[in-house]
Amino acid sequence: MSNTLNISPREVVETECDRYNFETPGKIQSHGAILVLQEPSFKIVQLSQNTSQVIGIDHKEMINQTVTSFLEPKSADKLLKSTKSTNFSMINPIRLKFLGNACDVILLRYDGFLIAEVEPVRSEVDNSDAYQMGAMHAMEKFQGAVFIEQLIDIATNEIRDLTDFDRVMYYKFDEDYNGQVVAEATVRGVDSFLGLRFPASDIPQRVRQLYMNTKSRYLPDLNEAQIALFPEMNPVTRRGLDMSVTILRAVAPTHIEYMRNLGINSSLSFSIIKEGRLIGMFACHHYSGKFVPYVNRLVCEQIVEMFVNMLMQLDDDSVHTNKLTKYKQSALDSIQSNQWQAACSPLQSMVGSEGVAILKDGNLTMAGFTPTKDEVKSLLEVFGNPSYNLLYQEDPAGFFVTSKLSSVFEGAETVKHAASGVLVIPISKNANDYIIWFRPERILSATWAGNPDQAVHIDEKTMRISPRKSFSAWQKNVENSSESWKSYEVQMALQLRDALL
Amino acid sequence: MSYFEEEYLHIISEESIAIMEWKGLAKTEAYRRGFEAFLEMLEEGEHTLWLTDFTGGKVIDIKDQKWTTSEWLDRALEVVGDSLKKVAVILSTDIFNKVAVRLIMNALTQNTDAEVAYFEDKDDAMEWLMTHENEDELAETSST
Repeated sequence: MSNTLNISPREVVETECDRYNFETPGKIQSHGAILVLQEPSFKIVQLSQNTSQVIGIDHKEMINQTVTSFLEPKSADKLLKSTKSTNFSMINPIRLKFLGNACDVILLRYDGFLIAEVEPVRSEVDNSDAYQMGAMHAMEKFQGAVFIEQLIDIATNEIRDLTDFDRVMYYKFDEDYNGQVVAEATVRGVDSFLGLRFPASDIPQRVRQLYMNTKSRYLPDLNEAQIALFPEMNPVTRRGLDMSVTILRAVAPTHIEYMRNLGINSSLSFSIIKEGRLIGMFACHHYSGKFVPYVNRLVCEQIVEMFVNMLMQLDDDSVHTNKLTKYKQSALDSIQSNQWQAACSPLQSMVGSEGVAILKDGNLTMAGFTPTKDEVKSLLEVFGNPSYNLLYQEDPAGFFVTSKLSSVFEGAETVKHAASGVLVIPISKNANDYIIWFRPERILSATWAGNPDQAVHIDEKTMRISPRKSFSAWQKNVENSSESWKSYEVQMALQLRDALL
Repeated sequence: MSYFEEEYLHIISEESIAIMEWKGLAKTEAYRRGFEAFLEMLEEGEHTLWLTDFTGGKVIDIKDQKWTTSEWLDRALEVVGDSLKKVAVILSTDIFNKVAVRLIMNALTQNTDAEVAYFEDKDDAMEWLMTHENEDELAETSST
């Protein structure tokens, strides 16, 4: 008997995640081989059991030997010289001739070892030429971009050209890590995912952390068997090899099932990290197995870095802040001369609210679209009540902001039409004087990839948890929420507070 | 000895080491003036080692990057010939600079036997360059 959970899929998935060793799976994907080397001897202390397929030399022959003894002399010299660098990002991949096959080697130092990830050479194109072609093209394109939409379009299409995947999506997270496909490039005949939303439980917190550790994640063929390491435990550390930053790290069974339910057989994703936060991904899907040379993936990683760099320039908060500062100054002047009604209009403009209320010495001044006077007073009593401790949780000077007031306290639903979002600052010390800005409810009709409330499926007999089977479009309204408050809008309010306190 | 110093670039000659320290954005004229100054310094001294520190480097215009690889590099390699032994590179955090530097260094390694290595900081880079010097001195001593 099986059932589909209709509560807390996120919690269920986080629990399931804790059961799997993402970082130390003891296995790799089969499209490459891994060699764990000790420095400075370059002795192979651990390796994957598929070296005969990838390198052309059996793993039992290679274990405990120096890696250079399996390389042609020029390649051995090249490897040794390469290891003098402390930053490998500029030299990877290194093309080396083993005594078996020629391979592209990607080096990294991690956990006290030199790790060589070895991929077969499947293209006659020289890595430098391939890099130059891809990187130059992308740079030229980006240097002409002036709008965010152009940036998204360039990155999505460049990644599709370099990977030749069936579908490339710009997938953006919201504050709660639900994702939405906001741009897409596909080959003809492939279904569009544009606009679809995916619940946060599809990419749990631990997996998001792994996406933060590496710039990309590549799964070329889900039908290929995964390959065990030999020996199973690292003989030096006597524990499993930490592969959290490696390319070849094995794939979790739940993820394989998720991809199969989506109908895809190969995936490639690039993390979009802005100011230390994972804000989205460029996610690529292919319906059959798909090998992409490392150098092409590297160029894609750098395209994503260029994208973030330019996004930060175009989306610079200081541009907005400069525009809003004049409203803040006008509001401040009015408040300091006790002209409360005159202060309301600039107060609304400086944060972009629909309504505002000022409580000063027990007198309430209101403007714009707000709850009723009694409702505002009730709300302000809640903020002034020390037992709720809403105002001083994050900042000792006090402020509170939410775009979903109903998630903070019961009863807020009655004012959601005018106050689904609120921003509150104290304006005097040791007194219940406040400014409160309001934003109304904004009902969004969202299309989800499958029912987000049934994002996971549990077999009650085995207690096995698996991803949903259907990703068919599912309409669901998002209610009780206002438009989000931008960081520069909150900053404006905090600057006003600091000027008044 | 400081050879060239402007807001965006500092060029220093330290015995056999020619040092370039990029500190900010350089538009075409400034960028090329900096590289020309570096070349002049190479012509005047016997520098077998280069330290190219791009830490503060910003975006390099594509036409300037192409000028570096197709024109300046040929002239520089003509000046230093086989005497150039090692090039230590410290990377910028700016992705556009990093990509341009990779392309410039690819062109360098294709046209010289000099070793090129990449470092996170100046101390590691200098240590590697000096080790090379010491090895040369030892080789010279043992051969005499």
